[in-house]
Amino acid sequence: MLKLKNINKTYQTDKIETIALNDINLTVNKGEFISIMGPSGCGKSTLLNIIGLLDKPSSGEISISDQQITSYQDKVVASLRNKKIGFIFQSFHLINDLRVIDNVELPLLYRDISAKERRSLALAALERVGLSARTTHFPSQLSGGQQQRVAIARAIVGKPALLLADEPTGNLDSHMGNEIMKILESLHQDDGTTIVMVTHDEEEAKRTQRIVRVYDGQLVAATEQPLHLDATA
Amino acid sequence: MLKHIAKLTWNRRNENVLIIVEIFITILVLFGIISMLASTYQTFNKPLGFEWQNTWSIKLTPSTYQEKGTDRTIAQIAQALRQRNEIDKVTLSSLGLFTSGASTRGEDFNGKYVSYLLTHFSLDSPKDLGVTLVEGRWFGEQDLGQNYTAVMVNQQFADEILAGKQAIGFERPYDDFIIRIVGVFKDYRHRGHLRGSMPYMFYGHALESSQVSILRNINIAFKQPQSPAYEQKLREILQRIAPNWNFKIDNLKDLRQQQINEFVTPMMILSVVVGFLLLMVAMGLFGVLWQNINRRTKEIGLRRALGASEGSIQAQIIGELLALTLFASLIAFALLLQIPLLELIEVVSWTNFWLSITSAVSVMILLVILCAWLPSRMAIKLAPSDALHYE
Ligand SMILES: Nc1ncnc2c1ncn2[C@@H]1O[C@H](COP(=O)(O)OP(=O)(O)OP(=O)(O)O)[C@@H](O)[C@H]1O
Ligand SMILES: [Mg+2]
Repeated sequence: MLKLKNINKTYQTDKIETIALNDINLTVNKGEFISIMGPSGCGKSTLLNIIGLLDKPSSGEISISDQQITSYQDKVVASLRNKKIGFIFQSFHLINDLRVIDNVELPLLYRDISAKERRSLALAALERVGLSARTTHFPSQLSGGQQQRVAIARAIVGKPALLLADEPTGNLDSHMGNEIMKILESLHQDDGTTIVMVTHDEEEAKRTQRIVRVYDGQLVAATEQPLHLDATA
Repeated sequence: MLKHIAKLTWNRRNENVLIIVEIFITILVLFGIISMLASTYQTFNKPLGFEWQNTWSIKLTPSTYQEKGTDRTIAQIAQALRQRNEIDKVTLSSLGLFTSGASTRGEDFNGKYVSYLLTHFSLDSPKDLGVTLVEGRWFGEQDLGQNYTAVMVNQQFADEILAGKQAIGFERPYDDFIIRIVGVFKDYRHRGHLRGSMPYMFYGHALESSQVSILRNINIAFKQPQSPAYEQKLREILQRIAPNWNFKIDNLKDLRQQQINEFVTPMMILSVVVGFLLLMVAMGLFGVLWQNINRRTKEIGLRRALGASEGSIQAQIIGELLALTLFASLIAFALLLQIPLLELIEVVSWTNFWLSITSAVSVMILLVILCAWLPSRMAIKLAPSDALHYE
């Protein structure tokens, strides 16, 4: 499903070179739910951004859905992001001036789909996250947890092969965080979605199949979760 | 996508008002500048209605002691000049060409107050000056000793003041005489290129009449161009007839050029001022758009994360701003339309209005695209991951 080979990423700022990622190798199987953990600043977000084609690695190879990324030409990556990847961010990143339904439709605007079909896909996605009753609200009229559910609906509306979540519960209290985790688990278990999630929360991480630990830009360990092994076997 | 843009633009109406106001003001400024330029250009290029090439003007100032017989002296001078071989035509009028002097008459005409310019000529002068006859005839001997005074009017007089009435033969009583229109001429812009046309009336006088004393401007058209040295010779001829008179002799070419030069200098200063004004307005617009797009960097990052291509984002931003431009243009249009509709400002004719509004809006569209291009380009060039964290 997802394969990273010798990924390096360095940031050059004011003569200081930051090595954010150092020779990362990682394989995620189809239908797997993994979490990435590590101390602040270790490079988790950088890693997720590179997987999600939001950033270019300094060197190394990535393939998504067995398709190797050879070109970072805008047209190519834009289309891959649109069709293969769904993103969930810690701070939701909803467009405040658009109603819930329009926010969810956003990724479909960049596809060749009729307005009617867009609407029905967006309604289905909202139904999936339990927000059918809030479609015409503006994001500011929703709780944080509800906003994150809208963001999830937006991430899954295009039926991407890979769902990436960067601390999806980071801005939520534990109750709302739990709700989000339940939705992710359901997407994984019921729909077979492949999910890569960055988290700071050990409890959350334990609910995934595998924990990848990053320290100072390097992968240090990958712990299999015996509890869920049967799910991917 | 269009519906999406419309929705977003509407939902952001509060922020967009600022942009619309900025664009609206810019359109007004552009309209003002363009319509001023266009009307100046139009006025400048409109035919003067007379010939000035190879022509010199003589302004006569009779001596203060010799009041009687001025008319005789002027007639003698005209006679003497006519006999010269090198001179083609001699014309006499009450007002000099390419001078700002004018005599205006204002009166109630069919219950409407009108004003028009007035010049007195010797009978042949309008024709000899190259004025174009549109209708009727020139002044002639047949007008002498009649119970009416023959006048000619220009086309504008006929159109605006007579308003559709038959011009030729039109009569109108004054205190102790009647005027009768015998001919309509095209135009006579004796004040030069920089003054617009006005309704105009010519009076014609025979050289034998005592009225000749007011015809103190003589124009002489040469068969061949004359060198400045000819002025001395001319003075000798004139002084032989009227030794105590004063003569101001000019080549019309020089008077015309002088008039243009006097106009060009303030225009240059004005264009610098206008240029600055335009620059300020453009910079204001650029600032507003820059700020607007900058604030949307996160949104741009998000859209790219969701799969928007660089091209579609740029198209969206420019599309949104063009929608605002359209809106501002409509308001400006509705407002500016009142100028020709209510005839508020004379120079803004319908032609001028359409020209100015379309150019102002076109320039505005270009300006908006230009001002939106750079900031949107910069936002797009950020990696989406950076754009998402942009503050
Ligand atoms: N755009 C950037 N320019 C320069 N340095 C950057 C940039 N983005 C990240 N870094 C640096 O790269 C390193 C990894 O950052 P990253 O955001 O991936 O950490 P993280 O593990 O997600 O941290 P956190 O848990 O706080 O979110 C940090 O040292 C950070 O300062
Ligand atoms: Mg992070």
